[in-house]
Amino acid sequence: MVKWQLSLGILLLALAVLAIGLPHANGAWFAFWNASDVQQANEWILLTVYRIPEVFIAVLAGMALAVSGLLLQTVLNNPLAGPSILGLTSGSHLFVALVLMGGSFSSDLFQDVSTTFAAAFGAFVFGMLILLIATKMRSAVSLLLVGMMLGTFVSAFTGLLMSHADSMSLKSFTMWSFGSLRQVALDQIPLIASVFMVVFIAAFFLVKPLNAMVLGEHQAAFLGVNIVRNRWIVILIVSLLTGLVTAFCGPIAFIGLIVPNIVKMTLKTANHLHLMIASALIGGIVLLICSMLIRLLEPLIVLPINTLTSLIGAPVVLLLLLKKIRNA
Amino acid sequence: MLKFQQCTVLQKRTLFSIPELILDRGQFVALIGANGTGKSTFLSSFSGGKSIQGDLTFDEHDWWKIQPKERAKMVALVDNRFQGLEHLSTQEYLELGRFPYTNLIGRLTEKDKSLIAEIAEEMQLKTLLNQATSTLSDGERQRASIARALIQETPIILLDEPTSFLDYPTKRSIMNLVKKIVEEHGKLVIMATHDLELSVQFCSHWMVIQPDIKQLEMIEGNVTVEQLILKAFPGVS
Repeated sequence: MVKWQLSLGILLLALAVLAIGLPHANGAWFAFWNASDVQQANEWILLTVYRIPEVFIAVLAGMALAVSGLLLQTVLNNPLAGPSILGLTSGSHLFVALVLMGGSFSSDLFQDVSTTFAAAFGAFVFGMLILLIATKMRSAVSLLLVGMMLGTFVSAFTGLLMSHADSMSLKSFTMWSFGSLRQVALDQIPLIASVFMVVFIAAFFLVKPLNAMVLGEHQAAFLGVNIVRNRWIVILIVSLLTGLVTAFCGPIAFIGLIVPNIVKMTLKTANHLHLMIASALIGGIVLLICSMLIRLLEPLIVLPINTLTSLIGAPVVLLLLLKKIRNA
Repeated sequence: MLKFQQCTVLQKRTLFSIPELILDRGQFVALIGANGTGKSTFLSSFSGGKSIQGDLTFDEHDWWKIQPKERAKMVALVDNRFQGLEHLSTQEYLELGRFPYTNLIGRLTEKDKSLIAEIAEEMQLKTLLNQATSTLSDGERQRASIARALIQETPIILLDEPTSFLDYPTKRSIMNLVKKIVEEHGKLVIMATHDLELSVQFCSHWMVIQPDIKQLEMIEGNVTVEQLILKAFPGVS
């Protein structure tokens, strides 16, 4: 198990290095390393302004979404749960729309904080809503319908907001909603990294109760788990992680649903220490590969990240569903 | 050991009352009642919740003042709702029985591991340990569930209709197993069941929820199926 995780870690690092050194158009690999002085200055700017933040946020977003998905799947006892399919991302969507198109903000820093806050808050509110509904719902599939309804409602409502918004805020919201791994600047990295670290460490304290919760809340309560408290902590962590990602990258679908399922199928363990580490690593790897694909395909076609993950993700989810129906 | 005085079991409405009842180690108690009379509510209330009101003590301690973590060392549940998971092996499932005793990250000590191995041996689960819980048969899963409860090392074990999905020979073997546990491990076992015939053969005590007067009656010694039917289902001829 440890060997497996170690090799995943090495793969992630190797991919990250590769992604940083990926050539531009017809340029060379690792062009910033051996170029003439004038060129080097340009390459250096490209590296620090674009490459490093992009690779950083791709890895971090992948990790955050995959871990969020794992937490939701265990707490709701539903292998088809994930932050985007349940509508947590829709919550972020709604509140970011309200912030960007409902008011005006002069300072850039304030906008950073307020979009992040709005996204996290939106994910939290919708997370609570889903949790309340989930306690009344026994079927795994009907919960997904709830997520769909929330999504439909939100897109209708944002449509309404958009029709009344001025062109500037309309533009910034549209840009945000495409989803992109290139909206993060180098100086934002410390802030994002520190928030993420804190939340991620908090998630590791949930390992033990999560292990018991796979047996269902009834049995977990008999093992001494405080169900209500742990559910709240999970929703808080998931909404922070999802909100953070959605705020900086826009909505990214399917990673949170698929990655934990792949991990469970391969590792064949219900120990959440292993599941969480492996989900984080594979989540990072998957989104990193996506960002590299986008860069490689750039001369041919411009793919927003959300489009790419949906193109790959939707068929995979269909396969998972078919498998589940056959087993049921 | 477990003492009820002037208790009421309720969920939104009053389900039944328990005027006075004392249960002890080494008893195999059947809980009998029609659907909807509150058998499951009664069993689940032991993990907390507020569905039993009144005086309930465990060895003179007020049951409701015991912390959840300590309570998990006193009562274990075997339920028939768990269908198994593809990524949860029988070994991991049994290990979860040590949950109330392990540290913050759930690390098992050598003592924990040898206890798990011992009980797996006793319950004839050795060959199934690496198998996914979703691939176990209903009987095997029930046996694993009982083993998990034993590994939890609680004086009280609750069984929620353990025989309901099983064929006749498996029902009998599970009942034999539980009876042996009661006798050899000195546990108090409370089993909600609809299998009256089996309960008459294997149990030592019967708690019957009487729907007409909404009261729990305790019967010991000898009882016939007819007597149980008369009390639990007064409308049936």
